[in-house]
Amino acid sequence: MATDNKEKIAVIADSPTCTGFRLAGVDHTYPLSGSEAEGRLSELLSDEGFGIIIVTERMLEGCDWRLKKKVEQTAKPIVVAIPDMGGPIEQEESLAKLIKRALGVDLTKKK
Amino acid sequence: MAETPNPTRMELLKARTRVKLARKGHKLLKQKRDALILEFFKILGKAQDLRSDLNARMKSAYGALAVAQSYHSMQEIEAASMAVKRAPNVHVEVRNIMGVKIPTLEASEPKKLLLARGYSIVGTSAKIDEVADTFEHVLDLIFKLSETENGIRRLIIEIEKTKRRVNSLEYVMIPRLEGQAKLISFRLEEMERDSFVMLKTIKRKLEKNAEEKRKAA
Repeated sequence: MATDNKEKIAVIADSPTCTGFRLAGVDHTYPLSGSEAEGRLSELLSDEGFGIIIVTERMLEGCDWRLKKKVEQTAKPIVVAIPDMGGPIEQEESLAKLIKRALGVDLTKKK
Repeated sequence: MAETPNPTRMELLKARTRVKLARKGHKLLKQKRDALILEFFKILGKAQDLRSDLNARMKSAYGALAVAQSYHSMQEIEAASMAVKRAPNVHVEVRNIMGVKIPTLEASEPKKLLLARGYSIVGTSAKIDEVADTFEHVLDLIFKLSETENGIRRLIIEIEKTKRRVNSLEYVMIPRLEGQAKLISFRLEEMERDSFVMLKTIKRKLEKNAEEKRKAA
């Protein structure tokens, strides 16, 4: 394992998901929910030591809009939303739609 | 027309410089847009289908976890998970493309050998290995996804913004400013003709007066 890779990975999710990621070798898992999770997320966002923060879609959806905005604006750490046990939720603005609006062509369909 | 400026030479000069500035800005923004779109296409190739892939993979990971749970207790799985060590660390760098911050990620494969995982293979069953395996897969996908999806979203938003600016300059601002400049120059020409005619009239009148005086004398 390369030693120069220094940023850590964090998971904020429900506890089974956390367990799963623990099995994959992620050290920093926080099985939290609600305002606790929000607090942790904003804490981690300003932490330089983390490279990726994995959160569940449902959790991110329930967050305060200010926090969501912050999540969108920060490039590092990267916040990745994953589906939780209940499966993925429809995002209000999918990538394909965004692409179509910006470029006028739907690039994701043809390939 | 939004506002009719005073028809003076000063205003004309001002209007012309504004047109020039708008043209320059338009050109720059156009270049920015093109650069952004170029970058966008570069990332797009990588990003394709990663999201749906991740969703499917997550589903199978949760399935594996559920199966493992039915074989073991949650406590057992958790105990095994506590023993897993050596988290795959990552290295995130932020690139700045035309003011859009795009993360790039360097990560080592999260895949581990069975024995390298750290928990006892005697005390656990293959079901737990499966869970670990699928979640490692998921983690790998997340690495790939995080690099592209985030950046692409930001790029698109920026492209849209830039596009709107380019269009508003091209179709609204520049024609309007040009119209203003034209209007001023028309008014100035009109005034010039006006004064020319006036001077002529005055000259004629003066000549007439002078002639009458001469006749009287």
